[in-house]
Amino acid sequence: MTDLERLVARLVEHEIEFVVVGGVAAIAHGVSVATFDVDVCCRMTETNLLKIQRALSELNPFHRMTPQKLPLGLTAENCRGLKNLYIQSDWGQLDCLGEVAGVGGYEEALQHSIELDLGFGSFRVLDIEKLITSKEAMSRPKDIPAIIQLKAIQEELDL
Amino acid sequence: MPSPEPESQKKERPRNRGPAWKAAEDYGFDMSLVEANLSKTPAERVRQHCEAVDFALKLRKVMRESRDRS
Repeated sequence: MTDLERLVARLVEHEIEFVVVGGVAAIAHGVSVATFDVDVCCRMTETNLLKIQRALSELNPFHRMTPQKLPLGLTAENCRGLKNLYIQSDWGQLDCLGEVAGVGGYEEALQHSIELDLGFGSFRVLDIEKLITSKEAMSRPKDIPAIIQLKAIQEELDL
Repeated sequence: MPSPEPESQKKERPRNRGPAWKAAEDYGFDMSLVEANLSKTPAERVRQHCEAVDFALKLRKVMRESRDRS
């Protein structure tokens, strides 16, 4: 198993509530782009966030967006009000998002997801329609290649 | 009654593509890569990508080590 697979497997193993979104979801739908991180939409509850911390505990996780690269040190108190978590670990980057642009929070992402099994247990991936919606809602130039290809794939599936 | 077309010939027949597919080609994407991806299962696509990322990261590490030595 590769590091990125092991990272997702770890989330599955620890029964974390998440839906894969972003680049890896685009790749699952057939897009030909490269991405080096895993973006997931999570239920941002204290229980789920502390489970994420436990799942990554041996992987030297730290907040990659902080200038001091602070180690991940979630507590019941500082979990409250967290909207996103941008984590670097020994197995790669994991971005935990409370909301997906144009889609909503975890419940909405889950409702518009499909099941995927890489052999270590199943997990959910945002469906192609909502993935296009989210990438369009973000209006980032870097998402244009994925949007164009996703639309072509969606059309191909509908033909 | 005509005999059924072999599976290999069915795959080779050019398909009528829709406007979004043509737009992607016009944009400059090599859509044969996407076509190849679509012949795989989603799990196979993700696994293949993870292997490519692994390879790219190993290359990056070797390059960095090589630069550090010189």
